[in-house]
Amino acid sequence: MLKIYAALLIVGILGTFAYGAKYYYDSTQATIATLRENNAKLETAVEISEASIEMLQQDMAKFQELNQQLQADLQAAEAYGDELQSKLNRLDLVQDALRDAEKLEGKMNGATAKLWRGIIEDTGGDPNRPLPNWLQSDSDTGAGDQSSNQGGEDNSADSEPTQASPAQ
Amino acid sequence: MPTVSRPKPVQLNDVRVYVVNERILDDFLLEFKERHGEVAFVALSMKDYENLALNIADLRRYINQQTQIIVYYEDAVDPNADDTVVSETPLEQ
Repeated sequence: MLKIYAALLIVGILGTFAYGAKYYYDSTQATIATLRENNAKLETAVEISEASIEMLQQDMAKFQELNQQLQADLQAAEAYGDELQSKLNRLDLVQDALRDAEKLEGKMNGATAKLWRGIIEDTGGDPNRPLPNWLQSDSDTGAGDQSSNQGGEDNSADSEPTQASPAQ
Repeated sequence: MPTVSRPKPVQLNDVRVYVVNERILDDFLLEFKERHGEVAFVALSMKDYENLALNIADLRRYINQQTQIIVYYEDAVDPNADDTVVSETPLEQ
């Protein structure tokens, strides 16, 4: 009878060990699975973070390039005013008018027509508008303003409006 | 991000400038009356003409610089840019 109790006790102890081992094995496997899953998510997170960093670096490079371009363009926009100021400082218009008013008038009208067409072009319009006939017939529109005569002839009278430009 | 269309270009009128000195003033008045019927005009001193030209040049500079700034922002919000969406995935416990 004692042997039977001893055998039952041993079987019970062995069963308990077996159950414990099975529980340990299952819980360990579950933990490993969770860790593997978390590891995959972390790897994905790291990839996303690296992609974000790369995107930010690309954006930074892009904005740096855009800023440099903007500064260059802003500087270029100063050119006309600087050039005009320099030209006016160099010239004495009063003396030029006393010496040869007609020549100065031609230069002024040529420069003015060129300026209007430049502004039209700056705002997206067609700069190749015909010049008014009174400007065409002027004897001299100035050495520096010859390019303003490229628009061809227009028979409009004094101070006529330029042709309406189409909306964009 | 969509960008809006630009305003229509300016429509500017040609302006005729007369340069007159004391020597040709009488001839100018006769010719002006023949051309316009009346002798009534706006006169500017050379200094004021220079100021007018410089004012217009500065307005042109302002328009151009505003345009460049608009172009900058248009490029910055270029719809072709690669926008990656970053999402968070909670870890298992």
